[in-house]
Amino acid sequence: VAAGAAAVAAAAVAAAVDRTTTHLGVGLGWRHELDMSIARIDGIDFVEVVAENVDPRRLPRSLLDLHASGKPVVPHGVGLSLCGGDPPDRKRLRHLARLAETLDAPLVSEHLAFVRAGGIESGHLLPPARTKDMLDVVCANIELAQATLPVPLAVENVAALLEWPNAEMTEAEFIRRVVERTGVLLLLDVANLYTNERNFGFDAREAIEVLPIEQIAYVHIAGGVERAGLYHDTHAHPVAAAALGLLDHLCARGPVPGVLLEYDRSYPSDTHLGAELDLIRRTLERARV
Amino acid sequence: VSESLDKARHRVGAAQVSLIRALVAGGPPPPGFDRHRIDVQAEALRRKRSRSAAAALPDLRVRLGADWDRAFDEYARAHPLESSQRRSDAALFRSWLRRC
Repeated sequence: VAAGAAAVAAAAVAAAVDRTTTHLGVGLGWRHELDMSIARIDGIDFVEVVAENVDPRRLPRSLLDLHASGKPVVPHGVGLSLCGGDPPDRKRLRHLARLAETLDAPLVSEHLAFVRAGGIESGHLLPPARTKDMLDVVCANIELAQATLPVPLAVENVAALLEWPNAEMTEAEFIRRVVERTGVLLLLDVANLYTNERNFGFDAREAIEVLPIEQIAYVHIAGGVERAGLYHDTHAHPVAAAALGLLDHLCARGPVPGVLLEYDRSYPSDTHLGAELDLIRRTLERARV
Repeated sequence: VSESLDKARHRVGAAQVSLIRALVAGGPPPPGFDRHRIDVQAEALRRKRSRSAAAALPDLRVRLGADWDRAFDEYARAHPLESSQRRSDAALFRSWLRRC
């Protein structure tokens, strides 16, 4: 009877998880330069497409093929500037919404970052100040985005080289509060967490204890490199063993619905990509046993 | 609530303008930031921008060879990426180079 009750409880927990998350498996970031690799490598369960790089009316053939074969394609925005002072741009939101509809995406993702201010573009994701002001602004921006998007939104922690003075909370606390206030899903990038651990000297495993890991939609992992004492999240180097270690630690803490590997340049061979994806898959499967 | 949100938006936006200007438009480092980290971040942003323009202009990249970095750096420091610009950064760089 006790075993039966435990099984019922476990099933209830699994159902609760299923309501907010879709099982995604092991993925690779779709890039034009990787379209042949993605078609050739076995065991890629899902992909992500950088939203700003495609037009929903003229999607690349290889993406449409992946969609037709039933693999989830997640639109991933980099230009919404959710942590910016201004509300998110309506055209950018419409673009994300159309992509999600065209690709039948289970969700879309963006970043806890800003990329422009005062009419100037930074050209890359910059970290938010961790203040109550920033919390109010980013939560309002996320709620505006959620009201427009036809599917759930997940937000990603970013890698940083610098941080704002006078932080009122840790990064993990900031993310937890954003998730609690808005119900947004979390795209946890373990390579970004590792980058920030290296560059700012906190303990990433302690951060995972604070992060709302039950809200994880999927996880990102990528490689980086140290230059002159700072760690750069390049998406152009092999995945660091320490980042895989964080993934392993995370998987031991709770269910991880998917993990996606990102390369943006210096694309490796199919053999190298396949080997990294296998390592990721084994880490996920070890946790599930 | 909306009035206090507007004020928070204004404060957040003003602080971000100062940081972005320091990073890509030659502005002074905002108070409290580590100046070395500002320099490293600024350099990382210029390198990303340079790589992106080089990918769009492969022939010009080869033709300029070792001069690309110096030329692009000069262009980038004088021309921050503007949200309103219609032409691509690569096209603007090519036009700037012709005028030099």
